[in-house]
Amino acid sequence: MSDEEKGKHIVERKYVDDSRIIEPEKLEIGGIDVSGHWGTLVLPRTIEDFDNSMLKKVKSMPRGKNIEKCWQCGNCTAICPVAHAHPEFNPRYLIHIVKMGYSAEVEKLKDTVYFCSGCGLCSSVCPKGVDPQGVMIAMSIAFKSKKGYR
Amino acid sequence: MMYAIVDPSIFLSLNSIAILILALTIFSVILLFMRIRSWGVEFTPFSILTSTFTKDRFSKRVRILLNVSLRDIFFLRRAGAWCEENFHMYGRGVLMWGFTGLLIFSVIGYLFNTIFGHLSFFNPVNLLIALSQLLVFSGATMLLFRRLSRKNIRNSTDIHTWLLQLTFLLIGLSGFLSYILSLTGYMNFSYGFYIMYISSFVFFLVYYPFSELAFLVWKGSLLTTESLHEELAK
Repeated sequence: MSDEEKGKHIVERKYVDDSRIIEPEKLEIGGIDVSGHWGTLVLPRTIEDFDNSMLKKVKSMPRGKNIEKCWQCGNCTAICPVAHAHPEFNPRYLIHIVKMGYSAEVEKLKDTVYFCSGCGLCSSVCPKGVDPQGVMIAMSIAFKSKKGYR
Repeated sequence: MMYAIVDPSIFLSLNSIAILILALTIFSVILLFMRIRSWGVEFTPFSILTSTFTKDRFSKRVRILLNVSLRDIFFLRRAGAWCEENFHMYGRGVLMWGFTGLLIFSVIGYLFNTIFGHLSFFNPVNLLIALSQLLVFSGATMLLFRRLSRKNIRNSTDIHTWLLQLTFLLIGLSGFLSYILSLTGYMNFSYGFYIMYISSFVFFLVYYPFSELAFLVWKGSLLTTESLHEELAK
């Protein structure tokens, strides 16, 4: 079974990694055939790789220094005109995963940071003075730095 | 090489200004390189050259690079696809078109002037320079108006953003006024604005490597290089 077909009946399938879905082609329990999607198992998401080096790098840049003030209200994403057109670009979530050091998630989403058009609307509505536009600039640089993920 | 619409011989010779601007341009490119290196990144805008000028499929690389640059940057496809805020996008676009035109037509004007002697005010090259200056002024005005008219954006704008946009405004306004005043016969005022025009451009060359524009140049060239590699891999 291909990765695309695996777990296709799961609601919001795109949010579940392929590797976390177990769907045996032939499964019999107590004489009852539970093959196919009846036997689908979604493994819990466990994050094992925490790496705070990216946070340090972002904080070391002038406009990234306030990243830790973020309390995840989501105003930045709500007002972002780019996020409306391209939901995969989510400033709130990018800040969250960098703060938490979810390196695997950062690796997966790091290219979306370059979607930022620099309009500054996010910084204008941030109640904590995080300056998300500046943080996006700091992240763009940090993701390409020699000591970064790439 | 800022070609003078107004005869600058009263203050400086055209060649002196050209040499000054050329030297400062080289200096600012070095500053830009050093600034970007200080970020700890390997990629610099000059990496585009190493990605393009290789023996392997050279003509295809140049063709793709031109296509991508024109389509994504110059005709705003990338900005248009990413951003729903049209006023901001077109403000940047008008500024970029005007500034590109200003650089190109100034160099052409300088060369024409050197070869054929002083060009008349109504020469097409001079008119194109004036039009470019008007575009720079309009683009900078749009960007500044957007920030000034909305309190939240105004309060959260970085000082370097103001400074950069004001510099563009001054370049466009002083250059255009210098031209218009020279046409209407107010030569003293025209010379004054010409000096302001050259001074603001000199300031721009020294300042931009330390402004947000350095990041925009870096990011633009990074994405262009990535597009080049993607197109080559197809």
